[in-house]
Amino acid sequence: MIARIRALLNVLFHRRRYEQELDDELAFHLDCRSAQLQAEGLDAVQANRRARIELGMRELHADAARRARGLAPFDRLLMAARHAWRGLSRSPGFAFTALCVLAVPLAAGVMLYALFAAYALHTPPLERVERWVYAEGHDADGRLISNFHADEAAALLAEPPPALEGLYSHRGATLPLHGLRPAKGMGAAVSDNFFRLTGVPARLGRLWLGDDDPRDADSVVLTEMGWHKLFDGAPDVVGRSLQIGGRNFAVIGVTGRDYSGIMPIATLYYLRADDYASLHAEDDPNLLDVEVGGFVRSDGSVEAASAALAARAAALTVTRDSDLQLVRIDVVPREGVLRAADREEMLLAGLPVAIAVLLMMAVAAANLANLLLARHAARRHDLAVRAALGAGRLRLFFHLLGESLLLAVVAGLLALLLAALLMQPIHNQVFGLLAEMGYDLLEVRIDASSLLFALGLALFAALLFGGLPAWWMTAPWAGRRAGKPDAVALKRGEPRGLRGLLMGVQVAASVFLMVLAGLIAGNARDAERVALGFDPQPLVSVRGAVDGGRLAEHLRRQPGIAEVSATSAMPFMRGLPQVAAVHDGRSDVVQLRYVDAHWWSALGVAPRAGRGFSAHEPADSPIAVVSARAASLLWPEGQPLGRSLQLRVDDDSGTPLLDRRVEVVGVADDLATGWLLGDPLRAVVYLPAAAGSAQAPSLLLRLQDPSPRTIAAVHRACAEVAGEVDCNPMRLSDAVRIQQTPFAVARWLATAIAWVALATSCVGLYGLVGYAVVQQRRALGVRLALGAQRRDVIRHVMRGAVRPIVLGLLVGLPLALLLARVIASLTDRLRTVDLQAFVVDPLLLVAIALLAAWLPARRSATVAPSECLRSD
Amino acid sequence: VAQPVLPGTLELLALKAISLGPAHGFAVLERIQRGSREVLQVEQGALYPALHRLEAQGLIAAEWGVSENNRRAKFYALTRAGRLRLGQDLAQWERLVAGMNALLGSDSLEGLQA
Repeated sequence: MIARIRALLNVLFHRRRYEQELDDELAFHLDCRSAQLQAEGLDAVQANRRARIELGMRELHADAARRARGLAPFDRLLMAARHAWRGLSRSPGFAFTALCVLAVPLAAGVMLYALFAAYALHTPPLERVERWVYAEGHDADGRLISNFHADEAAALLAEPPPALEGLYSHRGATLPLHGLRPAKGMGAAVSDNFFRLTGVPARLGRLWLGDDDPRDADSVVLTEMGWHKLFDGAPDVVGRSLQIGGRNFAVIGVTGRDYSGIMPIATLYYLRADDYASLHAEDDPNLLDVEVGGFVRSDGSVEAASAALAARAAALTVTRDSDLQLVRIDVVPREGVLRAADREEMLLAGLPVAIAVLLMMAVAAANLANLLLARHAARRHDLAVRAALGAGRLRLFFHLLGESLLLAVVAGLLALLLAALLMQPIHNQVFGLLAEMGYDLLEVRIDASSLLFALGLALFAALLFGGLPAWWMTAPWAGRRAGKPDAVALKRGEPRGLRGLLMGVQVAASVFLMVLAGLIAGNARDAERVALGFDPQPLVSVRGAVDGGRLAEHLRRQPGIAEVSATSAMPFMRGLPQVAAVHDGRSDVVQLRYVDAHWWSALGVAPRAGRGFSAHEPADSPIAVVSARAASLLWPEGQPLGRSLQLRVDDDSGTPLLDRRVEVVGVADDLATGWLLGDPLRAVVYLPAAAGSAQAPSLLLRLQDPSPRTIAAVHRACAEVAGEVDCNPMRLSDAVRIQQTPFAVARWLATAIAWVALATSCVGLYGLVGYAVVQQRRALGVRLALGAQRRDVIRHVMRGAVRPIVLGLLVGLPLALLLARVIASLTDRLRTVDLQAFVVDPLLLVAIALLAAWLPARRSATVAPSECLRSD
Repeated sequence: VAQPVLPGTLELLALKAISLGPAHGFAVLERIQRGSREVLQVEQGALYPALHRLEAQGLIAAEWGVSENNRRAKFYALTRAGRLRLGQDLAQWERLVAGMNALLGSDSLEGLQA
C-alpha cells in the first residue's frame, strides 16, 4: 500500500515527465508496428497509417493509462479547480471580498485553536507520556483539591502504589534569581527522582542522581530557556553559580531542547524539594501547593493506582483543616501542561470567545451565501443551458460548489498566514502582564495541526456558505423533475426571500455581538475607572515572612521606603473575610481588615473623622475604625464615633473565631482594596493588629521612588532579614492591572470581533442592495419615466434593505437581553444593564448598516430613465 | 483464427510475458501473440493501461533503456511481488481450467445428470 501511494505521489509530483513518457511510449509502439508492417511489404505512409488505425485513439489509451495509475480523481479535481479559478478571476471584486470576509474569522478561529493547543493539547516531551498521571484529591463534598502539602507529598512518594513506576513531587517557585544579573521567572521545586521518572534528558552536564545522593546537594538544573535567560546561553554554564532566594546553587546541567517544564508558564530552573524547603520553610498544614505525579507501569492501571491511594487519603490529610481533608485520592491521566480541572476551566473561559468566533463565522458564511446566491442567480441562464444539455442535479450542484471550495481553500491558507503574523503579538497582548512581571510565556506555534484545523474549518464553512445556495439553485422544487432540473425553472429561479433571511441572520448576529461587546466594554471601563480612594503608584505589597515584625522594622530603616504598614491581606490579591456586626439589636454583614497604626499614612490618606490606631495601643484593644460605607450602613442616622459594636464570626462547627466588642474611634474614607468589579467600595471594619502577628502577616510599603531599583532594594532587604524567603514585592498598580487585564483583553477581543462582524454585514448589505439595484434597473427606469421623484426611488430600494435590518434587530436584541439575564442570574459582580450596549451600539449599527445600503441605493436615482430603460 | 483475450486475463498474460525477461510494451504484445501461436489477439491500446496498472501495483518495475532498433524505450521487468502474484494467478488459472474441463467434459456432465 505504501509503495502504491509512493508511486502515485511520484507521478503527481512529476506529472509533466509522466505525460511525456506516456507519449514517448505510445510513439515507440507506433514506430515498432510501422517498421514491422514495412518489413512485411507496406510502404512507409501506408504502414504508419495502418499502425495508427490498429492502435486506435492515442488520447483514449493515455486516459485509460492515467486512470490505471489512479490519477483520474486528481485530474477531475484539477479541472474543477481550474474552472472555479476561471470563474473567480472573471469577478475579482467578488473573489477579493469573499476571501477577506472568510479569512478574518478563519484566522480568529485558527489563533484560538493554536492558543488552546499550546496550553491544553501540547504535551511536554516526556518519555512514556501516554502513561503520565497525577494524584487528585476529593473532599467529603466531592470538591476537587488537586495539590498536597509538602509533608503529604513526601509520604506519598515514600510509598508509591505498586501500579506506578514511582511518584514525583512538583511545585512552582517564584524566588528572586541572580545569574548574570537579577532576574525574575518561574522555577520548580521537585523531588530528586523527577528527571529519572520523566525521562527528560540532559543537554549539558548532568541531572540529579536521586536517592538523596549527597552529590546532588545545593545544585540547580536549568531548562534551555533558563540557560539563555539567566546565563545568556554561556557554554560554560555547568559549574557556575545561580543565586536563588539569596542562596547560591551550583548549575549541574541543562535539560534537553524543546523542554520548558510541565506548567503553563515556562520553567527556568529546577531545585530539589529539600533545598527549596530549607529556603522556604512552611509550617502551615493548609498550604497545599505541591503536585504529585508519576507514571503507570506498563502492566499497571490508573484504577489499581487509585484504589491503592484511596485508603490512605484520610490518614494522610488529617493535619489539615476539616474542610480541606480528603476522603479519596484518584490517579488521573495527565495530558498537556494543564491538569484536567484547569483544562476545563480554560475551556469554560474560552467558550465565550469560541462562541463569538463561531458567530463571526456564521456572519461570514451567511454573507458569502448571500453573495453566492446573487452570483448563481446571475448565472441561471448558463445553468439552464447546462441543464438543457443534460447536466444532472448533482453535477450542477458540484459545478456551483466548486468555486466555494476553492475560495475556502485559499481563504484557509490566507487565514493561516494572518494567524502566523498576528499570533505572537496577540498572545503577548493577552498575557503581556505576565511577561512584564518576569514570567516567561509558552511558545504558541502555528503548526501543521493548525493548517489542518484551518483547512477543515474552511471546508466546513464552504459547505455551509456554498452548499446552501448551490442546493437552493438546484433544489427539486419549483416544477423541477426529480433527478434532472428543469431548464425553464432554473432560468426563472430568483431566491430573493432566502437572501433577505440570510441578511437578517447576519444583522442579528452582529447586533448580538455588538451588545455583548458593549457589555464587556462597559464592565471593563468600570474596572478601569473605579476610584480606589488612594494612589497605588508608590505602594508595594510584601508577602508575610516568619518574622514579620523584624522585617517591618528592617524595611522601615531602608532608604527610599517612606512608610511600612502591616495588614491582614494583600490589597487586590485576596478578598476580605465577612463578619457579623451586631449593634443596637440588629446585625449587618461587613468586611474585616486588620491593620496596624501605619495603614492610613502608608496609603497617604487620613481618617475623615476621629482617629486611626496608635502605635502604642495593644493589638487587642477594643477599638475599631469603620469605613464611611460601614458607618452609613450601621448607623444611617450618623454619629458613629464612640458607638459600640459586637463583631462575631464562627467556623463551620459554630465555634467563634472572633467575638469582640469594640468602640468606634474613627471613620475612614472608602477604599477599594479587594475586587474591583461589581461594588468595589464595600463596608469595612478595621481592627488593630501588630506587624508580624497572625492577623497581619502582609506588609504594605510606601516608596519615595517606586522604581525597579528601589523594588530590588526591597527584595535585598527582605533577604537580609527573612533568610531566603521570597517576600515577593509587588507594585499595587500591577495588582490592580492583574484584575483589570482580563477585562481589558476581553473588551479588546469582543470589540474586534463585533466590528469585524459589523463590517462583514455592511459589505453584505452593500452587495445586497447593489445587486437589487442592478436587477431592478428597468423597473426603476419605468418609475422615473412615469414621473417618480428620485428620493421615492431611493426610498423604494432602501425598503428592501430596511427589512433585514429590522429583522436582525428583532432577533438579535432579545437574544442579547436573554444572555444578559442569564449572566445576571449567575453573578452580581458584572453590570448587565448598560444604555450604551443596548441602545447606543445597536443604533450605531443600524446607522452604519443604513449607510452601507444607502450608498448603492443612491446609484439607482443617478441614472437617466432613458438609459435605465435601454439597459435591459 | 485469432481470438480476443478473455476479459480479466490480459494482466496475467502480460505478467507471464514479462516473466520471460524485461521487455518493452510492443515486445510484450508480440510475446503474447507468438506465445499463443497467434491465437490470442491483444487489442494494442488496452495493453498500456494494463501495464501501467501493474506498475502502479508494484508488480512490475519500469526503466527506460535502448531497444534492439536503437530507440529509447520503456522496459518492464517483474518484481518480487509480481513473481509471487504470477505464481498465484497461474495456480488459480489452472484450477479454473481444470474446473472448466471437468464441467465441460462429456463424462462429468452425464455423471451430474445421474
